[in-house]
Amino acid sequence: MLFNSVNFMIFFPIVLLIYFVIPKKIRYIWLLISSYYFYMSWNPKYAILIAISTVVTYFCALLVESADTRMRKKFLVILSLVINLGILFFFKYAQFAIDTLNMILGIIGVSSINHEFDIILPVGISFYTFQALGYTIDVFRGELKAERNIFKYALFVSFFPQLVAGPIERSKNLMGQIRNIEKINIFNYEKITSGAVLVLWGLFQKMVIADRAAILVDKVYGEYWIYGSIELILATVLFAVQIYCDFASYSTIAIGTARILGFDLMENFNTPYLAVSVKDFWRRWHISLSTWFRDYLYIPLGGSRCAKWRHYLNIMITFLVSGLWHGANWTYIIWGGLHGLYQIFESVFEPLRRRGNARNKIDTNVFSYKLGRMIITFAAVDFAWIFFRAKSVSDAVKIIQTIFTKWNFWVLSDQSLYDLGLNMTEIHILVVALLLMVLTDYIKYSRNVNIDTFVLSQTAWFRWCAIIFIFMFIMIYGIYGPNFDATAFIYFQF
Amino acid sequence: MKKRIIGLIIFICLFVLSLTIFIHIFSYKHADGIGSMRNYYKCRENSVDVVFFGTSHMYNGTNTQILWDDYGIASYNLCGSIQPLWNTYYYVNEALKSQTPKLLVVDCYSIIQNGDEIGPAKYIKNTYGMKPSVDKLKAVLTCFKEEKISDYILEYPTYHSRYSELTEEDFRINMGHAYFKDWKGYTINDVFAPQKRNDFSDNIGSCDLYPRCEEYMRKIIELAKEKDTPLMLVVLPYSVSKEDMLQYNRVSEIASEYDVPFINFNYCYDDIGLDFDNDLGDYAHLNYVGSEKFTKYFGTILCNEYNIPNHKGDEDYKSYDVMAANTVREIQNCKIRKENDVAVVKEMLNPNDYISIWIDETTNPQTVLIEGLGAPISFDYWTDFRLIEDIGKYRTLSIINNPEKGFSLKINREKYVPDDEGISLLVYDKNNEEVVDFRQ
Repeated sequence: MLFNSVNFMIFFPIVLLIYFVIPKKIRYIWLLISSYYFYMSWNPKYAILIAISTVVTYFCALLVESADTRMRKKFLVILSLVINLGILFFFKYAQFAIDTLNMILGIIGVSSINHEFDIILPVGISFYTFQALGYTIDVFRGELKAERNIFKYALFVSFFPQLVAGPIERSKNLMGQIRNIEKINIFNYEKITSGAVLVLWGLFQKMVIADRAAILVDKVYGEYWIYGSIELILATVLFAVQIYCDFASYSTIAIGTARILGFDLMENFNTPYLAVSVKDFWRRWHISLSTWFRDYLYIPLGGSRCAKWRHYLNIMITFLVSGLWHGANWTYIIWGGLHGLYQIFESVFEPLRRRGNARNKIDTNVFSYKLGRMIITFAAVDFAWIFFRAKSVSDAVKIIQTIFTKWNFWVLSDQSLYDLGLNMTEIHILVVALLLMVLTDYIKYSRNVNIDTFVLSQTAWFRWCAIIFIFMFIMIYGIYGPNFDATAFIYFQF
Repeated sequence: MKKRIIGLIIFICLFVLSLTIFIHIFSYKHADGIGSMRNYYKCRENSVDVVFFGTSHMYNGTNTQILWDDYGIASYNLCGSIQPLWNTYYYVNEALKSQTPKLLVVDCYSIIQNGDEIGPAKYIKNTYGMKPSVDKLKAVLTCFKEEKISDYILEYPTYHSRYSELTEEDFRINMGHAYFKDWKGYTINDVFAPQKRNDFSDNIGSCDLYPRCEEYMRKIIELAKEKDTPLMLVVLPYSVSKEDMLQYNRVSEIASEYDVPFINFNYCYDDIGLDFDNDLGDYAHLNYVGSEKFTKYFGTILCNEYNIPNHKGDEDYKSYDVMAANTVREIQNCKIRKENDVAVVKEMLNPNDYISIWIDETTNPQTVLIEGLGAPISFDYWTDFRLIEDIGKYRTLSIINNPEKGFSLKINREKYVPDDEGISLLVYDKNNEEVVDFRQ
């Protein structure tokens, strides 16, 4: 059940209505039932996996808390990690591991393993596994008390707004709110309107921008060999737009729906393409995941408080694991590796850049300087996206090769850019929608206010017009519905 | 709190208004299958005596104007193109909600088509004119059995992307054509294509119908019996094949089972006076000439065998008078377009109904004659002339002549360039606000 589906538009109001009228004490039970229903709408069987993950981490946390020795606590945490990551590995990485092993065996001339895993990746498994593991580690560290009520804990793992695509909530934040669910002031007008605006904005990002950009990206990347530099650059830039809007929209809708229910989820995206360095980018992009890796991997590895080489190694390990988390393919690992290298590069050359700026008396506070850094950062991030989007490493390499060698500037004037799946009208719609998004990102960047706060702080007429405008924009220009060929649909006899 | 509630009410009103405007503009407005149902709802309750159901066969073949003008029969053509019988079943059901017709006539042409092969995407629009109801939901569910059924129930997902194809018709009431206001579903077919008259004299026996077609045919018959409304099954005349006739024979058997009259008009070509060289638009559809012949023949049957009242002169049936006049005009427009002899066309052009602009390039100097805008106006190419006249709510006629710059004839931005040598004629229908013909 996707957020932008009719099913969700029926599901959520029903959940909400019942949530508002039932007694406070059983609200969490209702949300738990709703969350499991939401998850099972993809595939009922996979509810067993989330249940196993819940039960294992629930009991591990209780045992960790009651264990008298640190050794015992450590053993229990490792046990929880092994079971949960084992499930994740089996469903997500087993085939990749065998393929990689076969590749190595092939190189050294040993016969390969013939085994095909016919498994569909359970939706959201990476998200809820990490959330549940974060909870166990927090309990191990003594930062959080283990939850006694298994249903409340199960709701923490399966809370439907953020279950399948994040944000990966911190146990201290979400678990705390679920523990005190009876105290949540539901039917809070401000929260409901703010949540509704976020949901609407998320739908706008997803249905108008991301899904429209995807048409061009899919077409060009699907047959990249027939295109030249300009088309591939355009598609790669639009992929950056697509992945941002797609991912951020899901988080925005998740935060919005949770807020309507009275919950506050953490921010997941904060104008990432306005970052002035790759390090800055990761403070703004998929914040819940990057902070998860920071807290539960990078810092335990030693973080930056160690020898430089060790610090760089920690960065590389973190980003390679982050890449692998995104998908079981070498393209993701290279993507993660590139981001690791970018950060090491920035770290190494940071003193040099500062000295150069000081020597040349460059004012680093001016707009043009920041803009220059933003552009360079975006170019670097977008370059890495090529690996993220390409089907294989060899495809990515060929795309990069083409970008640097087939300069076909004439396509800028011969109208052939309108023949990449989006015609002139569609391109104009995309541009207008992007301008709107840039405007809201700029407001966020300069004033640090989200779109909901900005819209709802305006006069009534502006609020109403803005909300109706966004709604109608989605209704008309959203990519949804059957891909209708009007000529096939309408039968003109004469 | 009070302020907040008032604000919320204003917001909801604005929201609903925006949504209504969106639906009005973007929704499909085709007369066939959508407009016919919408107009049917507008008919005064219990005012329609005969309702015709079926496909384009029926709406091309049965002329509501002839039935009204010749027999005073208040009929309605509630059809949709390539409508399978499972669509028709819900149409019959819907039709009986607001009317108590004296007779239901169902065209059986669609039984020879397997709706599943045609693909529901082509006939789903036949449900779009229906008012939201459980029956409408059932009608959609009967057409579609795919995952994205919600898109067809909500409808707007199928038409929201029309933003690059919207035209004036989408923004205007009745698509900007006065003709559609009192329209009763008859659709004029103005194509003339000679067809073969097949011999099926050795037509014996019958063959099975598609199971779903038979199922819904029986359902329609049972529904009519349940509602105690007389039903007649028909097949309109066309260039029928032997294979089709075998299926119609099966329909005849089913009809006899229920004691329901069935007329296959393919046996009545000569009685109707059907001319296969002139009366059909293609192998399956009657054109307006064939439709006139058929309707006159059918009207006699309806009058003789069913007690259909004559409402001519009844004040409550003024809408039928308007419909008849509009249909006559529309057919006249077709005849104007078809007629090659300009002298005959001239006879057809009543200045009260048409604006005609004649540009004669055979004279020296060339002359222009404008009729239909009060007294006739004429001038020649050596005269300075300027006429700018609103000829409809959204139509402005401009005729400008300058001996040096030349002659210009435009309706809004549309330019009509006369022939350099012969006589050019532009005919504009004042009632429908449209150019009927421009010949050079």
